[in-house]
Amino acid sequence: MDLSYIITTFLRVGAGLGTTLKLFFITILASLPLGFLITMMTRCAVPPLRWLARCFVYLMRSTPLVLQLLFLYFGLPFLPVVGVYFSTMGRFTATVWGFVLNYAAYFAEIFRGGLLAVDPGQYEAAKVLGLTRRQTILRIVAPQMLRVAMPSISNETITLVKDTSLMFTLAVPEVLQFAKSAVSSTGKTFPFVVAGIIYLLMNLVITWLLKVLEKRFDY
Amino acid sequence: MPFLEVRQLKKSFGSLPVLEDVSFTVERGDVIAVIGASGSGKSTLLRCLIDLETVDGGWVTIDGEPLISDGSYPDPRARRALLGRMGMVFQSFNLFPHMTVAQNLIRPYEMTTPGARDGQEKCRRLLDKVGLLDKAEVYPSKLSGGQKQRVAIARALMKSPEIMLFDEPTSALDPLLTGEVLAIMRQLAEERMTMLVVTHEMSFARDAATRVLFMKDGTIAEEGTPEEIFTAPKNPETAAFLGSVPR
Ligand SMILES: Nc1ncnc2c1ncn2[C@@H]1O[C@H](COP(=O)(O)OP(=O)(O)OP(=O)(O)O)[C@@H](O)[C@H]1O
Ligand SMILES: [Mg+2]
Repeated sequence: MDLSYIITTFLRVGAGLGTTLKLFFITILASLPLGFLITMMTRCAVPPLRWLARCFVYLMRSTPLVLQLLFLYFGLPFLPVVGVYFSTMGRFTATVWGFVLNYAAYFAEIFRGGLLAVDPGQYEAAKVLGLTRRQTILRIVAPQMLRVAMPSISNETITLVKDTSLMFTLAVPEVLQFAKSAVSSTGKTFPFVVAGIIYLLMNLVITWLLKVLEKRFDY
Repeated sequence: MPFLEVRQLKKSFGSLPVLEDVSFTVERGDVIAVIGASGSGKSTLLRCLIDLETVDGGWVTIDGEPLISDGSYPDPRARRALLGRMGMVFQSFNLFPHMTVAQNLIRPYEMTTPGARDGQEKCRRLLDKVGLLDKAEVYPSKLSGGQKQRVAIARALMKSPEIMLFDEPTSALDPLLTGEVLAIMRQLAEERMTMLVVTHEMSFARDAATRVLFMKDGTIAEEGTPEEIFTAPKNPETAAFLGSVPR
């Protein structure tokens, strides 16, 4: 195994890195706020909204992500009436939707636990100081909830890096896909090792970033 | 005209009546000590006055403006404006743990007073007043209970309230630390701050209050000057209660 083979393999498998990172960042950036919104919905005063949010979380957490991806891409276009709107949805778009919705449900559950850890006295103090509900949630409750939720959020984030390989399900070309095709065309398993190294490196960087972030919540 | 007027206030939790026909008035500069046995409704009374509980009936008027009128509340803006003139200090401090001492004072003030420029300066003045200027950049977790409560008092004073409500401000404290909090409250009383203080500190009620309300089963069983209440209670219930508490 010479150096140029190693480099070409890295380049070949690394070609999928763009898609992998794109899915990772879209999912994180969209599912965290969406998850928080769902948490708020599960606590809202309007019963139908509450039930809707709870059903959504249950559905998303109780079925496999792979199945959700397959359903979004292959199943939705066959729905009566609304199906046509989904028939032109691309593989990557379907994957993004699946990931965002799935991860939002997990984050919603993590946030719910975090909210339970916030002392009710905090809401009362905010109220007598004259803060609006919005200010109370965003400036008082959310930061305290995040501190409690941070370790679980870190965990999910690292899982997400690995889960991006589930794009494989819809044959979206990402790191694992490129590794697989390199293995099939050359008959060598080294590209799989390369894929493994790429995931390791991504998580190394992300673990470090999360550590820095967790420190900021240390008070 | 009294600053705060409470008339026939009623509140129950489910089928449990907690406040029954509570009426009293507070003049500007009054320091009212509210005493009474556990469960007599002292906290509930304070919480109703500052809108943490919704009453079932009665009137509350602040400086002539109705906060509650025959059990119903004015529109949210009027309500908010009135509540902005009151401050409250809790037994459990309720400082915001993710903010430093200075931020605990400044941030809520700036959130509720858009465009305010004097936050920093006010914060310094009030922290100095409660003797904690050197703790400005510290997080609450690093403070003793007494220090936390002094910060909580300073925080409540940021919006320059015209009346301060205290719900057992020293009950969660180590007995050695109650003095520093009571000293601040005494100082406020001397500055003629209008105060309504639920307390088990009979010495404070006796020598800092201008009037004492004795609550029993959701009603004001007796009301008078500290002198009257502590030396010659008219109601045998008052005498019994005072006999049961350490002075
Ligand atoms: N949120 C609530 N739900 C139901 N019952 C309540 C609630 N808050 C208070 N109570 C009841 O109302 C009664 C009066 O309570 P309150 O806290 O006002 O008493 P208190 O005089 O402040 O007593 P303490 O000296 O122990 O603080 C008690 O019987 C209490 O159990
Ligand atoms: Mg109480």
